[in-house]
Amino acid sequence: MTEPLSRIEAALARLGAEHEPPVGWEARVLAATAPAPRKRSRWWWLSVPVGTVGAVAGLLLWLVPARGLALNVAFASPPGGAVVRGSSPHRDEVMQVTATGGDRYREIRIYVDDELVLMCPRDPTCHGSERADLALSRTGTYRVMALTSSSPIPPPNDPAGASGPRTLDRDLAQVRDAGLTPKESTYTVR
Amino acid sequence: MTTALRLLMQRHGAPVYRYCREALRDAALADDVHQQVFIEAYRDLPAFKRRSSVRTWVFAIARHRVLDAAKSRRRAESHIDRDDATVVVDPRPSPGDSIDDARLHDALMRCLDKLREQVRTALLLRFQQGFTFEDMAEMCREKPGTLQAKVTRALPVLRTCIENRTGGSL
Repeated sequence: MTEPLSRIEAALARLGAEHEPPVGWEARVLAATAPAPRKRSRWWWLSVPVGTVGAVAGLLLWLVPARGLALNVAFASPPGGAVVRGSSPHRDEVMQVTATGGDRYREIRIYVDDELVLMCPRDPTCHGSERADLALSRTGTYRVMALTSSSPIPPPNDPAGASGPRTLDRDLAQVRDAGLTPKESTYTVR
Repeated sequence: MTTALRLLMQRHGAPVYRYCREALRDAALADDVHQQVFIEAYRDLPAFKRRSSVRTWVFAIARHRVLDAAKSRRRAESHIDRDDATVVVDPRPSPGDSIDDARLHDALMRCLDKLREQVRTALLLRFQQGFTFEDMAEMCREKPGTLQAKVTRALPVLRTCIENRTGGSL
């Protein structure tokens, strides 16, 4: 005779033996776990103006100078030269001009008492259009000008019919007529 | 991943379904829970650490989902008066007659209903699915000894219930 509790255990083991999972259950599970197809957002049309604005912004960024023109002037004592105290530059020091930023074309001009003494990058002593070193061989008023433009900058010239010597003021007027805004610094060298 | 899921369903689909059916005693609810178990298994498969067998892991998910479903059902039914008059009373044999297997099966199902869900699922995992108490401990986060005591205590309770219900003896 089988133990009563063993009969219960055996009956428990047989429980549900007649049941089979419903037809198609696997397909339903697979469907539920399949990645949902990407639905087109109801705001898809917004991508058109947003894309256009983005393209225009990109074009402007390309066309407009990344940053404004910056002019920096420093003075250095020549190697082995005497150190001269004071804030103003002195003769025999070296003027170091740096122009950065701005547009595609850049130019540095240095005038001494209205006379154009250095123009970068045209002068072979220049370091491109970014850097100009000038030995301060004489005393006087030094004016440094930096220009920038998206097109080549016209060289200073004497306009036809102009009378009198070429001056800084005339060059400046020419630059402004060309629609350029120069950055300027003036120093008195003693 | 889909291949793993197909394999999982192929190997464990039927036993998990039988467990859900008997634990819940509601075909529609069991269908839902059964599918949910495999959807959840698919979702958690990448996190499966293989600390237990795949079968134990799948049944652990099934046990949780069954207990959750039973809890929700109990909450929903707490507002409904149960009509015990609809329960079919077994035709009683003469006292001392042995209970045949069919009557034992019917009485067993009714008596299982009277047990707490935790005990009922433990009995099913142990005897219907043949898990060891160690495997069950993994699923239930209980000590094997505690589960063994639960199952051992439940069997005489079931016996008394079956004998009372059928009027016969096992």
